[in-house]
Amino acid sequence: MSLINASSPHTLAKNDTGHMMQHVVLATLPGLLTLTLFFGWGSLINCMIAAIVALACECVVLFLRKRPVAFYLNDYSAVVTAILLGLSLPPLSPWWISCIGTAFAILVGKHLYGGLGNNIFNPAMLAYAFLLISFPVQMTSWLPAAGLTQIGFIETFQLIFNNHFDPASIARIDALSGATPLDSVRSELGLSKTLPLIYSTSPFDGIFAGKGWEWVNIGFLLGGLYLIFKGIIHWQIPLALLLTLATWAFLFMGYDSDRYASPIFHLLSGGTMLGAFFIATDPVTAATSAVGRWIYGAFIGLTIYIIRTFGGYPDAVAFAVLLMNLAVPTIDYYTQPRTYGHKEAKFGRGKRER
Amino acid sequence: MTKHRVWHLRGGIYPPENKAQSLQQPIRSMPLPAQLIVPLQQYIGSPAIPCVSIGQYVFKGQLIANSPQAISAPVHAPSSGIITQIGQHPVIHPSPLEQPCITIDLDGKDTWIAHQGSPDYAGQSQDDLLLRIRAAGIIGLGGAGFPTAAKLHTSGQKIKTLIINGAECEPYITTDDILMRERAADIVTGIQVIAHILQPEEIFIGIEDNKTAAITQMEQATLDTGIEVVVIPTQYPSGGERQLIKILTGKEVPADNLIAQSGVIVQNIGTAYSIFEAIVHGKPLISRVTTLSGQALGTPGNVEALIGTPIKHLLHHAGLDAQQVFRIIVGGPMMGFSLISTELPLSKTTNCLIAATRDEMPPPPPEQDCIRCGLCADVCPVTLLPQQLYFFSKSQELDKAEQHNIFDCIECGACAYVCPSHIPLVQYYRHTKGSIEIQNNKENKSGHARRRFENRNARLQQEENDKIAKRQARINTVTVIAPVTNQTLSAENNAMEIARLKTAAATSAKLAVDAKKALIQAERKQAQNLDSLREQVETLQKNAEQARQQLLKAQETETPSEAAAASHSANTATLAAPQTSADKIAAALARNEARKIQQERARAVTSNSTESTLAHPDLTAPNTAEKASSTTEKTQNTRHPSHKDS
Repeated sequence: MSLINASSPHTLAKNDTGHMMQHVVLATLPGLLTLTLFFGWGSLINCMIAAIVALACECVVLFLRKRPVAFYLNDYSAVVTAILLGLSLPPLSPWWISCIGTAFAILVGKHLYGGLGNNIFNPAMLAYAFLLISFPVQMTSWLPAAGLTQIGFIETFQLIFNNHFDPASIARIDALSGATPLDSVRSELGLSKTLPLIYSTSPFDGIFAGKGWEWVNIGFLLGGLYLIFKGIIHWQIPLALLLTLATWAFLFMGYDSDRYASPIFHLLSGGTMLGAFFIATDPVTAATSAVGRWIYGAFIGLTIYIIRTFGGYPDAVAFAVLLMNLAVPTIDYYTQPRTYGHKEAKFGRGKRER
Repeated sequence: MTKHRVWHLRGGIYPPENKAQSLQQPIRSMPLPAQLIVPLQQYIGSPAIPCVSIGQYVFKGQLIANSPQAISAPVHAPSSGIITQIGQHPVIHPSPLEQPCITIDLDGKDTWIAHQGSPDYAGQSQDDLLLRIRAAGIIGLGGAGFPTAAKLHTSGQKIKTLIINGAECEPYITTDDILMRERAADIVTGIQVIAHILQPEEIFIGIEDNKTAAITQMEQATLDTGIEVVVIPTQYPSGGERQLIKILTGKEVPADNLIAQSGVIVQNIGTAYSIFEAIVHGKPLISRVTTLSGQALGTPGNVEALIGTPIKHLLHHAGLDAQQVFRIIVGGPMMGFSLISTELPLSKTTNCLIAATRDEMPPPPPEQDCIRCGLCADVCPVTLLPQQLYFFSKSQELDKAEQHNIFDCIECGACAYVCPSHIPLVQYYRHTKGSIEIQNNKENKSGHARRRFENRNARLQQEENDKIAKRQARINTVTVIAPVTNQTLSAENNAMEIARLKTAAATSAKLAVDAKKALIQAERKQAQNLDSLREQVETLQKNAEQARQQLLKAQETETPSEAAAASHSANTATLAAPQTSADKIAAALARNEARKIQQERARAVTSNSTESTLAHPDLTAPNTAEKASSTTEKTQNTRHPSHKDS
């Protein structure tokens, strides 16, 4: 009879980081599916490339850092990062964009900080910002929502892998791609057109917002609700983010509806839902107290609105999230909850003088 | 009866209950072991002191150890036999410790000592009841083992609510459950004894809703007693003392208060039963109901076991499979601790022993990195941020951990239970709490040393000041009184006159000597105003001589008028005193200056000691000669005054 000495608790729930990450991957499927349905096979291929590169990078770094490779690969965090990045990239972005972005996300965004759990910034968004600044043309060439049939799977594949070298491919991509509805609204407003006029042009013939985009956002919304239902993410961040974004959009629309888009348009355009449910909620880089989550989400929503409306970038989720990532330690420090038996929360006070 | 409101407990978890295994059979009694090893410290507080000797025969229930301390409980022989050993023995403890124990070799007859109880508790005074509870060695049987009499002795604090804890939220444990099923009436009598002592306004028995049989029994037993059975949701850790208070009263016990200070007392079901046994039957606490469970046991269940029974004996009679057992846990799986030996005696607080197989409680999976998912914060019953505490613990940011209320953590283990990264959070917190305590102790110690040092300096300074003040006062007395004496010339005052003159003469003589000393010192230190000092010393000496002469003259003359005249002329000498005191101060200053110079020199010498050794030609290696010579120069420069001095 040999007995082991162990610390309490002696039983653990059947719970695992890997399982949580698998649920996240699963929850991206509705969004990925609608993206594919409206914008072709590109996003799917991007996600695949990113996932492969992410796993490869992870293996190499873990090996260099002398960590048990299989043990860490099992947490699926690299796959989640890769898929989130793949979903944010334009469908026909060249293969090397996905590769560079993913490698940047894993190597710089994650492992330079010490690996999973230690990174300050959301790795996928760090890579997205990096790519947007480095390769603005490729990163802003979106396809119109022309359905799955506009380009076949094989052709998409060829375009992604050839477009840097083959003039015909480049010409084809140039002919196909254009700005996203969100981007066009911003640039057309810059030409002092009114919103009703802008909406009358082609990319805006959706039911609520831009064609295709509204359904992609609804897809991510569904996936996000699944994550909340499963208890993988907390509801405060997405709700705060969406509420703030909608409130500001509503206020400005009330001020001048010719120049400021509606809350529905903001909620269902660009990366709003992907950002609200999958990116802002990345637990490692998000605020961790309940009040902190509200503040964190609300400020991301506000920042998204400001950058979208007054800034110079096509979408704002990445920058808003990165900006607030920086504020997380401070937010957490000042939003401690009230502990049992204490009159009030400490809110950063009560540190002992030593 | 209206249903009592139940408040919501924040957080909490719902681990598999695993209670059915040990509820298959009624409470069994165990065959007598050959030997009992009775621990003397099995509760919070000081250990009991043996009052029996080796070789002595003791009866069942006989007092074998007692303690004069308030927070302690006496120990009784759980069965009859001969004391064979009194000394250290390994006991059930989180850190396998040895503690004083009394070993009894049983004679197998189980002969009771004469004992007597009375069902008429209401006719006894509260103090008598408290004394009897204390004498019966009753301690809290829920876990911590706080001496019950001490807990019930509220010293005037009004207790509004008495709560009987029948929540038993830990998985596996069923001692309270089975006691309520089988001995509900006795428990209620025990509760009534407690109520008689405390006179509370309301009495609740909190029972989790998974114990339906126990609830039925207790509801029947409490009919028309004013005791209310409150069914609370099954949720770990509802049985925590502060948690149960929140659930039943909606109030939180302030973090820095004792529970009794908020007018609530919580007692455990098992404790209530042993109070019944002590008061009604006069039986001390010598046995308890313990749950034996786990898949490595053939016949799990609840046993009534004598305190001091080796747990090996208990597990053996419960059909322990020595091949299958992987870990043995005392207490529940959430807060209990593991044992690495079974050669330990059952203590009064051992409410459960789990002999688990490897499949049942596998070794914890390797720890992964925290992803700050926040599940731990969701389940924390005291609303901490376990994820933050973990980071502070890992980085040893003790002040931040303390600021995040780490000492409010009840170590219930809910956070570690849900953690997807399998981080042993409780272990981290225990370690951090320990580190903070160590640091606080260190700080207290160094603070104490610092205060001691400062006090010493202040004392020395004070002594110095006092000396100066005394001297000043003496001088002042002389100068103030002198003019007065001038005006009150009378024969009666003659003796006093002479005494004063004596003082004046002595003072001026002392001043002169002091000044001379200071002068010598100043000369040695080559102070600047040597000439003026010398002059002053001379005047002082002259004054002193004058005063002495006057005194002698006064002593010789016997007529008051002459004395008065003498006194008058003496006055001229003493009148010089203010001036003298000024001189004195100047001399003192000179002395101080000299001391300062000396100290500085001493410091310079110590700081240069390494350099000076280098500078010593005999000790200096040839290749460092150059360096050494330059150092010598430097040293000489810094030591310049001292050279001059010598």
